[in-house]
Amino acid sequence: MNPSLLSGHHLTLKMGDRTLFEDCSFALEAGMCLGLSGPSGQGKSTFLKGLAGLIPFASGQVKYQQQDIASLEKPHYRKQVLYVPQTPQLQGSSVQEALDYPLSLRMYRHHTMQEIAPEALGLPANISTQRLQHLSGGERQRVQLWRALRLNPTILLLDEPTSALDKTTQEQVESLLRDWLKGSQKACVWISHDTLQLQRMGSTLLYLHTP
Amino acid sequence: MDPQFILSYTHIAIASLLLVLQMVLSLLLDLKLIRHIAWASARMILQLSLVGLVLAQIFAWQNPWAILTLLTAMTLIAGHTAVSRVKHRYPGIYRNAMFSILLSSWSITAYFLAAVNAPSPWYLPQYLIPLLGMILGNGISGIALALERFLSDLSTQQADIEARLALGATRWEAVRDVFRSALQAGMTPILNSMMASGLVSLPGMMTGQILGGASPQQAVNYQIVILIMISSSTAFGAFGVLYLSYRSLTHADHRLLLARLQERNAS
Repeated sequence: MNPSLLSGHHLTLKMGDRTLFEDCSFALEAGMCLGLSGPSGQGKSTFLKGLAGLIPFASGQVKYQQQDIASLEKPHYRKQVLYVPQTPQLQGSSVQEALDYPLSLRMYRHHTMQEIAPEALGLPANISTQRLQHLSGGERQRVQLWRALRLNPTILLLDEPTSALDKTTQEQVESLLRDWLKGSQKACVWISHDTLQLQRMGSTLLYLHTP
Repeated sequence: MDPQFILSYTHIAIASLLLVLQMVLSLLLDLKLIRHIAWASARMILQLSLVGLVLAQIFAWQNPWAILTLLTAMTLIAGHTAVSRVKHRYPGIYRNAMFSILLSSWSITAYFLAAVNAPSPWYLPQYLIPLLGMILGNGISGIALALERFLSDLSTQQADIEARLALGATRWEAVRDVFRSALQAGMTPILNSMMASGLVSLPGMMTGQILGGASPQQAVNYQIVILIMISSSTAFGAFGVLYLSYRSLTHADHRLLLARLQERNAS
């Protein structure tokens, strides 16, 4: 068995006094897509934020390449394990500014972006010149994903990445991500309400439910 | 003071007739402000009279410890007042505001005494108390504005800040923009009032000095120095309280601690 890239051990997540789930364990290996499903309000998004180190788990351990992430420098870790939120958050006023935002961070000072054509996500070739306020919800979602892919992380934590897309574009994005997963040492965690989509991604399913 | 400027209790009583006119206006237009006007005026008269008594006593003693105690009390009340104008709360907000205001206003005052102009003795209450009082009184609003802006932006822009963190921003990189605009918001009123000073209004201190018999030139010189001190104290005080709030509401592990932040009414 391959050593896992990212693994969770007996994770418990609480929101105030409420336990969202407990004793959740998983292992994510290279090439794998872990599909996350379950009823709304069960803490799927919170779970991803926890994996990104944005929220602490009440108990348990997350390991990245065998190291407890508690001991890792978070900006460095998050550059490898990139969380893509459900509601797109794009900084600046144009698509180009949003794409370049990470370059203003210390972590990406000497970073070379992965070249990916916007057409691969079904975006028009001139999208980078557009103003963010003129984008549709689906375009914003894809611009955010495009930026994430250009940053070339090891693991993508995707929170319903195609929720605002029509069927055709959705499948285009899925196929792009399937190809991406074939690259060396790549994996993703994918939240979706659509279990068929998770099957198309060939995912291992993790179903969160009330303890 | 020039005897022709002296105000007696009779003068005050005559001036108070204007309050009655305000109440009549309220009655005619059904503004429901009569009790409010009465209460505000009563408080104003009582508070100022008390301050008069305390100041008279302190001026008579000329005791540095009594003066320092009064200055400390003024500073802590200023910190408390600044926070009371802010809609959000987090544990330690009062301590952070009081500490920043203490540090900024006292160091600016110390700079004035050490480098600009010191009376003899340095703690001369007729000089020191109004000086710090003006720095505090005029600084509070800028500091409260900066803090309010910072805390409300943190809570409304939480998703954006978390997205920045998720991309690999350090906690400082993630909140830098919010911090910057909060500091700008805090500095704007004092900069505006510097722009308008002399044109739109004669600042209260200048008016007072001129009535007290100072030459307009001296009154102006004092006013210039005071405005510089107020704006500096506002800048440093607002920076301090924002920085301490930033440290209180973010974790060294580069994540937000906004569970600590509550709206005043909700808590």
